[in-house]
Amino acid sequence: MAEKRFTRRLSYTTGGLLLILIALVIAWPSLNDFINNFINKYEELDTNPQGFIDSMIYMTIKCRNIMFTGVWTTVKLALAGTAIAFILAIFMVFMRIQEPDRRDNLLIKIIKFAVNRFARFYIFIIRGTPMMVQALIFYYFGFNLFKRTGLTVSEINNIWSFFISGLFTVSLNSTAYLAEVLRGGILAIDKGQSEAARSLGMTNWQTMRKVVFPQAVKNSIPAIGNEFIINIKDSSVLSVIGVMDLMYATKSVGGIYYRSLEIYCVAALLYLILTYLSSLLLKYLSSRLDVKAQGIPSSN
Amino acid sequence: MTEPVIKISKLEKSFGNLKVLKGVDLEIDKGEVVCIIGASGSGKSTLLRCINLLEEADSGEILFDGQNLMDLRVNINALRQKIGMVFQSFNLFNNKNVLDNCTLAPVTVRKIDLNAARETAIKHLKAVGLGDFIHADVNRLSGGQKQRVAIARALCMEPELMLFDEPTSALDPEIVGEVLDVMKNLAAQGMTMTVVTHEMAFAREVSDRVVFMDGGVILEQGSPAKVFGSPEHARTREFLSRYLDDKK
Repeated sequence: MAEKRFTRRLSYTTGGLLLILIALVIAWPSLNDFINNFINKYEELDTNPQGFIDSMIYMTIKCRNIMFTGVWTTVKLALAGTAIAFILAIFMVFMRIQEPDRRDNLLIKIIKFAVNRFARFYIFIIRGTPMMVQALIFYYFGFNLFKRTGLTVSEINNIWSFFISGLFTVSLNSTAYLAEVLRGGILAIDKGQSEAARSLGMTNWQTMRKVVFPQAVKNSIPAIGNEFIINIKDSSVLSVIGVMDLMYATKSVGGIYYRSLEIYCVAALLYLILTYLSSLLLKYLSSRLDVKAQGIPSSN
Repeated sequence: MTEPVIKISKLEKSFGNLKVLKGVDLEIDKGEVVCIIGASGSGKSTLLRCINLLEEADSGEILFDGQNLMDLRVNINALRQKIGMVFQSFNLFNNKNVLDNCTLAPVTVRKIDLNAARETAIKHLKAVGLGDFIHADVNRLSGGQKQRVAIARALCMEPELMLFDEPTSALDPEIVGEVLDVMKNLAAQGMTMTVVTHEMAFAREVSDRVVFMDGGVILEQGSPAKVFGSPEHARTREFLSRYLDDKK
């Protein structure tokens, strides 16, 4: 029954896509002309047009390279930042959930206590401060650190570039949030799952690795996707340290033409397209994995 | 006299201010089937969970395999391998299919070769009547099937003692029978079993000894004929009569 519905839906989708493809091939020459004419019309203008929409299009087309770099940097920051944060969050959540057990020996008890407190402290600090402040602190901290090794400013800028320190910030920031996401996922798994594993003689670690954590990660996929979308939006604060993201690119273009309102509206539109496409993609992934997706989430 | 598999003495356990076990003494011999009956809250399930340390008792002794489980230096994972547990809510691993549920612990804990573990698992699954379901998703099974998988999963560790914590309480009356039949077979094969249950008919028919718990202590125990036929305590009579009335 469900399989039939699936194949039917699949044939609708492929059929629809095929139709669109055929239409595109037939219409391509005229479509191409239309686009070229459209771009040329604005390219040939000498001054920024007075109309609001006209001006938005004019600046976007004139400075499309800057804007494209901005979009691409934002996507890179969000993608790489979330991926790195996920790896780090796995370590962080394992530290966070350690609780000394009365059957552990003293050394293990001390280690568990220490890593638990470290993770709590890290999450507390990161979640309690704005990412913009974190970005500035990480950037200058790294800069000063490299300066002590005797490197020149231009050498430091090569190694500890705006992008790298921005990526560093996004990753470390998301680590705290994703660790809490994963912890929520672990706590949501029925206690009976770990009791069953323990009753079979599996150690705490084996139970976590083979039974609880895989289920927790699967249930956390929508929330991890949300973190990615949040990073698309929140990476805009990294423009404060000079990362060439969409926000910084927009500011630059606005500065060239002295027209701020119009270009910020373009930025908003581009951010919206990015988040909307991402949420569509996540919805698709979630339905494939049989977990529930949400809409565009609010910021951290 | 055979050596008891497990020997519990003066076991006490509190949850906060609530004292659930108030000094329990119990011995279980090899090959013996013991059914623990009693009202809800009498401490039956807690006693069972203390035996494989899912709950840590406050004081007392649990001797198993010559070791006191209450000793903090005991390797509890090694001992738990020899004590199988079947839960009221099945607790099958949701991220694994039927076969993988049965092979996970043998492979990760006992380091048995995967193919050998699969062979053993299939043998046990066939014995509980689930030979056709070895690759099924556990979430698609009925309650009775889930519980039979849980029994097979525990048996794959080749335990010396099987604990059943109200194994049929979450099941439809119609499918209770299929789980009880599996347990009867197991008893007939000589498995040492301790069963917390509300199935009086099963307790009367299968068990070698019935233990009646009330208010955190064992009030009386003996052969099914004795406990069901001529109970010593008024409280036991009251419990049993109410139970039999309810079942009419």
